[in-house]
Amino acid sequence: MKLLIDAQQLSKTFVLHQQHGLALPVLADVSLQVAAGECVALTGPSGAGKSTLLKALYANYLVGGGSIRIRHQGSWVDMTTARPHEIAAVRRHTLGYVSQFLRVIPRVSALDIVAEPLLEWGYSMQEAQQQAGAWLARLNIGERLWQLPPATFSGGEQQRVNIARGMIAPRPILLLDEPTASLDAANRAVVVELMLEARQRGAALVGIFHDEDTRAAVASRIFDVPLAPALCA
Amino acid sequence: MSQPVLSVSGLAKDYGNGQGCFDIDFELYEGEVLCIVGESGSGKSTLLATLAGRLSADAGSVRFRDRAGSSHELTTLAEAERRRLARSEWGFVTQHARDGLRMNVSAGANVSERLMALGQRHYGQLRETAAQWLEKVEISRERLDDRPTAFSGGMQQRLQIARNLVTQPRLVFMDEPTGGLDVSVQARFLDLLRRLVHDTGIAVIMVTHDLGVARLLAQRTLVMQQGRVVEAGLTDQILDDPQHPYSQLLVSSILQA
Repeated sequence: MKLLIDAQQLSKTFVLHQQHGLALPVLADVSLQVAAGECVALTGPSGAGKSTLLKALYANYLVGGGSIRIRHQGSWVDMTTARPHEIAAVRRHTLGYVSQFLRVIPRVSALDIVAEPLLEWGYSMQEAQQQAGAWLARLNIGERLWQLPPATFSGGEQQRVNIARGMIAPRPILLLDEPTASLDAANRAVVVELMLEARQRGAALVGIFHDEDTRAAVASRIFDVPLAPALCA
Repeated sequence: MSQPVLSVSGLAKDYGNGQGCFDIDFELYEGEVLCIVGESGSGKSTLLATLAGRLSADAGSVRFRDRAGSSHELTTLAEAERRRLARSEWGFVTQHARDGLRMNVSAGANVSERLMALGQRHYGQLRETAAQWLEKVEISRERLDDRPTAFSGGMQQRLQIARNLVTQPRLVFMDEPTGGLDVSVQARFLDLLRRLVHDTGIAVIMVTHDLGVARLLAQRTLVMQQGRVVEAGLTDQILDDPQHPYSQLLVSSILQA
């Protein structure tokens, strides 16, 4: 079993300075290890910190304590102490994040938005665009939309563009925040297939899946995020 | 991992009355865009001008690595050497294009000036290079002989980019480059800048008060308040999980479009 994520004793408390320093503990002493080929589904009641844990693993949120070791190009990088340009390199090559929300870049076409991660991997423009087209087609985005910036696309179309962008580079670790939310059954099935294919190539997946069928189809293990004891009462 | 283009430590510019910038530390790598955000008077532009050697530093060090791999200490550099680096290795894009352009000569002459300063003399080649750069910044080559006074604000700002990037600098300083532009022109400018960073691997340090611009362009952000960096890190982390009271205030003040 080859570990790709080794997170130990994570804690996270939000301090809201605009609210007179109100402290909201969300994670306390959370440890999670994930191996290649696994898919761990995070579960727990709303507010338990599923999304916070996922964002902490991506170094999008800063943790208050603990370590997050990510296996990056053969060695371990601790995301809690790595310098910004090291985190950027880990994200580029190793650690992908797929959310439901596309951050639209003005004037950039759907095809180029999806192709961009491959360009960062050193693919030629032609190769990257070819693969991007294949991903968009698989996610049922019609070819007439490829050259348009997705600002005017429907919510579901934008979400699928975002999934293509997040999954096109075969990164060894994928963090997925409700990737199938609000997709219709046909598109949900495509996304489930894509996630299973990622597991088969040896990727480690950690995700939040509200839809129970999706969770049953892709997850190899459930991780119940423990509620932090309320410290601020 | 490659060496940083710029390493800044303990940098200060002290205007004496508590104004200026103090205790600045960061490193910048090739292909990185760093945004400096903060309210007016927080020392952003002072920091930028001090980094670029336009203001003299009162303490600390700024080390710059040129394309040949030699390291230069900018705070103690002789003026002639600083000017040479400023022409060949850096660019500086000002908020008001008129401050960064020569308004009484043609667009082509504006773009060619740095090339000529570096010794290029062949008229036809200079003209062709200038025309190509106009096209890169989406200005028709037919405007080569027009003066920038005949250009719109957005075109002037793009001309300023061409003028700075024609010598393929390694590091470009930008002071509120989108400040005076309306949003559609701004989108075009940001798209252009994204492509240039991607295609040429330049490093950019940009002062802005627009957090949306920072989110779109910059991997990294420094938040300044009263002359000091109160928070530094990945842009998405600072915008999604700001730690310092001032960063939290700044992020919570963004208007949702």
